[in-house]
Amino acid sequence: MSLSQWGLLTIGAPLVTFVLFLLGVGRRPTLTVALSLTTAALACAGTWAMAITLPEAGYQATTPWAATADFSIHLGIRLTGLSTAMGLVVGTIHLLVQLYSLGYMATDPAQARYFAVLSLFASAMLSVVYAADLIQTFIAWELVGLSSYLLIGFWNFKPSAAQAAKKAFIMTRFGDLGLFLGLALLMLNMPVEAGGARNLLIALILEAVANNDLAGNLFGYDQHTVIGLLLLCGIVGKSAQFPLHSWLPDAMEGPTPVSALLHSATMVAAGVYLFALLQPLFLASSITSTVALGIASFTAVMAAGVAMVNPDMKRVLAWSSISQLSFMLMGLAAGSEVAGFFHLVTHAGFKCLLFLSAGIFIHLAHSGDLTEIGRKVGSRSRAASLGLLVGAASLAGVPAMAGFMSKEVILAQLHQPGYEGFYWLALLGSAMTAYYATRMAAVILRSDSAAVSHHRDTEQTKQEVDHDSNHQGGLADSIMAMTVVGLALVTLGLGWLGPQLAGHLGLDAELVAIDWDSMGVGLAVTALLAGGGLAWYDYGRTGAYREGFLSGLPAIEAMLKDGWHMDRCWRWVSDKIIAGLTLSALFIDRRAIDRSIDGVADGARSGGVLAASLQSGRLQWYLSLTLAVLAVALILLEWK
Amino acid sequence: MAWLDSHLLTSILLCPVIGLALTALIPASRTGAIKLSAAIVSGISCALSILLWQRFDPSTSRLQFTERMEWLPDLGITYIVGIDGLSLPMVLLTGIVFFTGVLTMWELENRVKEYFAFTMALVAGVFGVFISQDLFFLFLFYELAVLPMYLLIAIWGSTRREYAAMKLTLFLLAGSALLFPALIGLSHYSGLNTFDLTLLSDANTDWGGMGIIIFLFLYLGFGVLAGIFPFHTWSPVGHVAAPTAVSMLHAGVLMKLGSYGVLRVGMQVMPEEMVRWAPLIAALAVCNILYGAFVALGQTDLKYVIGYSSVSHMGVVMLGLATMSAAGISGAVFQMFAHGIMTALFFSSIGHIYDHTHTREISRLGGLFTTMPRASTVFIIAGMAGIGVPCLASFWAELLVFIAAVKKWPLAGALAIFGLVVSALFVLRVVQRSFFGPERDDWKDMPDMGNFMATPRVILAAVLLLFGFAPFLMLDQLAASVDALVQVLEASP
Repeated sequence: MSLSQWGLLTIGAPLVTFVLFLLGVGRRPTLTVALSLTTAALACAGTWAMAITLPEAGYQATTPWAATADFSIHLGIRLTGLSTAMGLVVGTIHLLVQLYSLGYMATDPAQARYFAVLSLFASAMLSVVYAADLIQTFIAWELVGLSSYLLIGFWNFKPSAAQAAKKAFIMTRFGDLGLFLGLALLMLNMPVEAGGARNLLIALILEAVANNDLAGNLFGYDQHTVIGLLLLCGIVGKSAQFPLHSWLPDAMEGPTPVSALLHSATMVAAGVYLFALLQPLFLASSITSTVALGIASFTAVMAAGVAMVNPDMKRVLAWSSISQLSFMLMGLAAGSEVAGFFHLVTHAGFKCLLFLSAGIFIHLAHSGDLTEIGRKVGSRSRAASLGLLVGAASLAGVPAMAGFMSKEVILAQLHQPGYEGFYWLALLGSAMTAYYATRMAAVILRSDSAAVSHHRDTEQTKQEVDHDSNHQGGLADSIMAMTVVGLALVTLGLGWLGPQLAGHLGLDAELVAIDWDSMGVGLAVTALLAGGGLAWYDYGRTGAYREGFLSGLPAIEAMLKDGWHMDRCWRWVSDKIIAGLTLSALFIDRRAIDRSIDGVADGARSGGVLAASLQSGRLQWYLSLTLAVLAVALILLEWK
Repeated sequence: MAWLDSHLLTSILLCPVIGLALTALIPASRTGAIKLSAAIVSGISCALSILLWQRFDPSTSRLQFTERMEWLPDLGITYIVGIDGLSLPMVLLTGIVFFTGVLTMWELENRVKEYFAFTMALVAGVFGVFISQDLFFLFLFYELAVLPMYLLIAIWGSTRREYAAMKLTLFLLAGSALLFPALIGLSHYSGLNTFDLTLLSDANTDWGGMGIIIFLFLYLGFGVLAGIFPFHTWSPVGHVAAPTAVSMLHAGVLMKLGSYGVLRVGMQVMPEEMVRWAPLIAALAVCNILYGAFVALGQTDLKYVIGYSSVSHMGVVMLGLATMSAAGISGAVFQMFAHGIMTALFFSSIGHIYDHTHTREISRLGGLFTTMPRASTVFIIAGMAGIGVPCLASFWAELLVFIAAVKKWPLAGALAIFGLVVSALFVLRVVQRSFFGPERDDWKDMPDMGNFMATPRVILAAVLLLFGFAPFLMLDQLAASVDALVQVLEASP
């Protein structure tokens, strides 16, 4: 098969599942699930085939899709080291999540819809990855958003799920405004192609950036800066960065395997991937790259802070995703071609692993509360404990684990003159990461060491439990366990694939080599020991108080638990600004516009009533009226 | 068949006229026969419009399928029908909405005969406007389309129907009162003493001082029907009061008459005036988009939400026209088509819900996704089209219009793009409150759509998806005509 056929198969196969579902196959759940798994396997095979057979010079195939005299939009695939590597991650994780869902969703009545939308999700994300035209990326990007909406709101009979789905859609849409505007401006400033039309083929954009064709002024600022900042808005929304991050923790309302996919290889990864794709454009303006670095380093610390105190396992993981995505963006914005992307790959592995383990824990404990899980399950589930240990160690940055290897490359990139502030923030973020990762593992796995045990149960997980308690069954459990163990083994090796990845991207393997004797590694290990040690003291050691050191600072702890009050800020925007605009528009419509128009009609009617009263039917009245008119007429005539 | 080949447009126009005659001949008690004849007639006109689409030659901007017949030569009135790329999508749209609208009203029991008779008259008028190339006939058909609305709403309507019917009629007649002198002015001041649109557009008349008056009369007269701000309030009120299929025709097709009129008469005959007034048209269009969306966000009645969303979406059409660029005009025509299908889908879903729950209060509904999965899916698909989700037709339309707008007026473009968030807000708010959430006891036993009643909805959704996946189907048909129009506009000072 040729590369373009593989591309079509990879993107198209999962889409076929969704379309067939809509066409009525959905009435037969078993068939839908079988179809979904088959197409997931085909898509995964396709991603591998394209990565392996990728020619040195890359590959591109496009076809015009929508054209007017001034613009043309293409669909197609563009294979580069970056896109095929990302495709591998998406295809593989998607297949794993589908397998895991086989167990997790075994007894859900709406199973068919779940698998169909999951397939749409994967197809859309693969289309983001392989897109040849930036408009195609945008289309797929919006479809990724749509499928997340449908999956987060999968149990839409739960008001909280319906709310979370809406929030995710609106907040990312908010960022997409900037993205859309940026794309439009980019399109308008692209060089005109033969035939007089402009287009947004990614290859041409990168060429234009390289040739400095985009230099110029837009609204009095450098064009790169304006376009870059606008595009960055979309990335901030999609990758859940400050201030558009607060949808991601709520997205936990969806089934756990959805979180596993959404947090690792799709949705949030799309933002970082877009940054990697257009990195030269962003780096062409120092303002844009500095803004990106600033947002990312702030978010990294902010989100890690929340993860340190949150009592719910999935929420800790969600805040951790926000923070880890910031690390990726920092690597990319600091100019490294491989660092951020490498971290995306390893993070996809270990975060997916953590979520899949969390699914088993929550399933067994019938609760998402960390303490509760520790008390009820603890280390009794071997597979989940293994997954948690490998995942948490990787997240915390234990040397030689996947997360350490890739984060170290980012830190090394930041550890250079000009980036000092960002470097120290990143180190602080690392220490905090070590703290919450250790805390999570210790609370669950060292529950017997507890002096006291708390009982907290959140509303959300209770409802998920209602669902989870439905499915019992040996086969379902063993499928889930096997997936977790398999992924744990893969994750263990993932950190050592840096040189291969760099090679695949066409870069020097030196870029990901770690200088073990350097001060950077020393500092990173110090951060790990500080954060991890503190968490161990608080939660892990025998006789620990099982309360974070932050409980000594109630004001800060309360603020962190509330997610820095960001939700309140957004609620204020929605309740005051949006609602205010709505009410004033309503007022204008009803009181000003409609009333004045009805007033015209009423005026005409009263005029009619007045005129009608002249026609009273009384002869005397007519006679006197005639005389009066004549009299007036005579007077007027005389006047002249 | 030879006759059909040379008289395709007249045949399409005759379908509803024959339907009207058939309906008149069948006794009122035989409702089944009346419905069947309506379905057959509308099915044929839909099939003919698809045939027209397929036979259309996209390589030329000249009128196709033209037929001429002298009517009143002394007054310069000729029966001329013909279509180009700009009217072709409108004919197809009318055919589809007509057919699905008839199917949607299959369960009607009250005064069936009169209902279908008026519908036929309305559709005949709409087809007539889209295919006429003579201003006199265009105006005649325009009036024919507007008047049955009064009866359809006043007799079969719901909430405040007499008020709504009267308001709508007064508004539209006020529009006509502006249009009629404008059309006579066109014929008179061109010095040609003709109503032939092609002759008028080719004449390159210097309108002098009259140009401003005539153009503004045209813009306002047609614009009222397109729901331009601030003359839009009749439209949501009318939507709400009208029965389901009338809302579908009203929002789906009737409002397009207005924007089509601006495009066909205003832009084509008076390009210089269009260039002069474009900024005003664009400013009002942006008002439509944002203001309509915010008002929709504040509504408590499902139909009002969709009524105001139409105000917002028609703003996209007018904005596209005002950019006077290939992308903008193609996008505008595409949006007329996409919005017609989408809003018909919206109203057909709400119609089913209202028929069974007898309420459209957003807060009283809830959990409908569990009770009526089909009706809810239909609404959600229409909603996704309404907020510009890709793979549904309106995405492409909005994409083209917004890019063209950013090019011409960056601020207007940015504001219009911001409208996308507000539309997402009002659609998702309705979905969350009325369709998601726990199932309500009140609606537990409500039936979902049966297979037959689902058919028209499936057709509409399929059209949205088809053009969403394959926008080139539409854009290729438009290209030649749009390019010709853009050249005329660019040549104007």
